[in-house]
Order: sequence, then structure tokens, then C-alpha cells
Amino acid sequence: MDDTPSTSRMDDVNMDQDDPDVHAPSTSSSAFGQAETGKGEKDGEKPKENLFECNICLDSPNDPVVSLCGHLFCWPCLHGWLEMRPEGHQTCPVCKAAISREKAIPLFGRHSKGEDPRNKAVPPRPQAQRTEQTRHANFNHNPDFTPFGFGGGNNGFHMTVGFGAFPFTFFAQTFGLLEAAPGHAQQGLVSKIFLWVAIILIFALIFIDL
Amino acid sequence: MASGFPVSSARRIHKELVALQAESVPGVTLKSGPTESTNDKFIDIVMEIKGAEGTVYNGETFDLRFRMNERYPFESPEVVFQGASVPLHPHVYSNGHICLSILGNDWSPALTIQSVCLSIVSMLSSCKEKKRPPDDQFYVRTASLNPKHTRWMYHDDTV
Repeated sequence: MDDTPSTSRMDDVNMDQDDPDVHAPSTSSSAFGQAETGKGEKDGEKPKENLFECNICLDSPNDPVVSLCGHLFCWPCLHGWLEMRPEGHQTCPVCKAAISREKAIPLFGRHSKGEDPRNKAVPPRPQAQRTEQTRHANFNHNPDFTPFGFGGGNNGFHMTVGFGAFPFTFFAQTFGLLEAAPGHAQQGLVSKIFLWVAIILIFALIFIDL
Repeated sequence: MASGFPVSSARRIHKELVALQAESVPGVTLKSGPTESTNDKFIDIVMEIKGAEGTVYNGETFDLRFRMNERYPFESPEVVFQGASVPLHPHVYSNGHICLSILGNDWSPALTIQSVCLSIVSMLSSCKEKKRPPDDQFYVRTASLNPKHTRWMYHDDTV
């Protein structure tokens, strides 16, 4: 990693990082002595800031990948984060740009074997749990929506179609007959008016009953 | 000692602490920790933060307790104010719980103990009037001990 020439793009990786780590020997916390011995070979050898650190484990990256937004991660670390997020809501830990497995570019140094780290089996990671929030929103929606649809919505719909349209077509037909014979006797007209009143009464009764 | 706690999480916490000591940020200091729980489920760290000069919290100090579980840094730490002095702030409940998006939905593993402390100092600094959240009484009576069990609504970007 140290032999790799530093490009301007790679320098940017650490610019966003709030806390560039310093490889100083452990001074406190006996509790972490054990963890430190695992990968602590570099301690003392390189006292200044390391520009090539994973943004998640803050260590020299193991199977390095870089996101399209230019942020460096270990593949196991980034994979762990992608697993935590629902598909389509995966964001770069540093800049929140949209990222995905396909958009992570593996980096191959001079001595690397050229195996795509994304194809390697990654160590077992915590299962995604943070998806529950979007699911909750759906669960809340459905029970609300269904009873509402069955309750007022359906009944109202049937009423207006069944009884609303029918009398209007009927009225239109009788009006049409009336206009077709305007010069008829007054008696006929009076009887027609009575017929109308009767029809209106019948419909009124039907509507009030319902 | 760290037999049950994942090495990767412990190592990251250790690296953060080393960085904290190497380049200190004014007003943010490590007070105690790391302390591991007896069942290896979490690691506690207490940070002391000072109210910034020229703000309503000038001269006050507060203790912030960070509790990292074995999924850290993929999962956010549990962060609460502890001890006698909990700042009077519209987003800080009197039980020490903090309504801050980066501690919940907006957590990212690139955030650190230090950057969270800075965010909280900044949240305090932008406050103009010391007061409790309007639902403080109700929340404190009903809330879980763990602020991460609360479903927070992040509605106010001004303070």
C-alpha cells in the first residue's frame, strides 16, 4: 500500500475524514491490547497519518474497494454496511451518495493477485435490521387503507351508479316523448303532470327508504 | 478480556481513542472508559464536553455516555447525557436522551465518537433559548432506558 503512488483522487479520500488516525502505540486501555496485536505490525514504523485508510474500520484496507464518489473501504467493511441497508437505500458512509455492490471498484496493487474481492466469501456479518423502518411505514398504511376502502368507499360507489343514473335516463326518455307531441289536448297534459308527480313520489319513496 | 466482544469493533473503538488522544479537539475530552460490560455485550465510554464560548452553555460541562454494541460501527452507538447536569435544550430530554438524526436514521459508520461529540457541541451552540422539549414530561415517563428504542421524528433543523 505504501509503494502505491498517490494520485489526487486518492488524496481526496481522506480529506472528508474528520479524524485521520495516527499510528501511535497504545497508551491506555488494557482491554484492547488483544485486539491491537492482530494487525498492529505497522505501529511505530509509520508515525504520520496514513492517507489510505478504510473509512469504516480506520485501518489499512483489506481487499480495498473505492466507491464512485472516491471513498476508500475494505470490501468486508463496505459489504457489512451494504447489508445493513435496504436495496436502493444504500449510501456512501462518508458522503451519502448512492452506492451499490456493482458500483464499488476493486483496487489492485502491484502484488495483488487480481481477484475481485467482491467475489470472495465475506465473513459472516450482522443481518440487516434497519430495513424495518420502511416496512413499518407500509404496515401502517395497509390496515388504515383496507377498512376505509370497504367501509364508506364501496357503498357510496354502488349507490350513485345504481340509483343515480337510472332515473336520469328515464326522465330523459319521458321528456323526449313530451316534446315530440306538444300540440295535444289540455287533459292529456294534466294527466301527464299527474303521472309525473306520481313517478317523482315513487322515486322519492324509494330514495327515502334506502 | 475482550473474548466475547468482536475484535473488529474493539479495534475500531481503540483506534478512535488513540486518535482522540493524539489530536484533541477543544472542549471534547475523554473522561472515563473504555469499560466493557461483564457480559461482553457493549463497551462504555464517557466523554466530557464543554459548552462553547459565546453560547448559552458557556462554562458548563456535560458528560456524554457512549455505549457501543458488538455491531459498532455498523450500528450507531447509544449516546445519552448522564450525571447531574443534562443541558436545558429543546432537543435534550431531562433523562439525557438526545433527539439527533445522526444517532438514529442518519448514522454512518464513517462517523466517530469525536465527530458525534462535535455535532452535539454544535447542536448546543446553535441554541438561543434554554428550554426542554415540549413533550419532555410525557417522554421521560414513558421512554425506554435505551434512546435507540424510541422512534424519533427529526423535524427541526434550526437548533
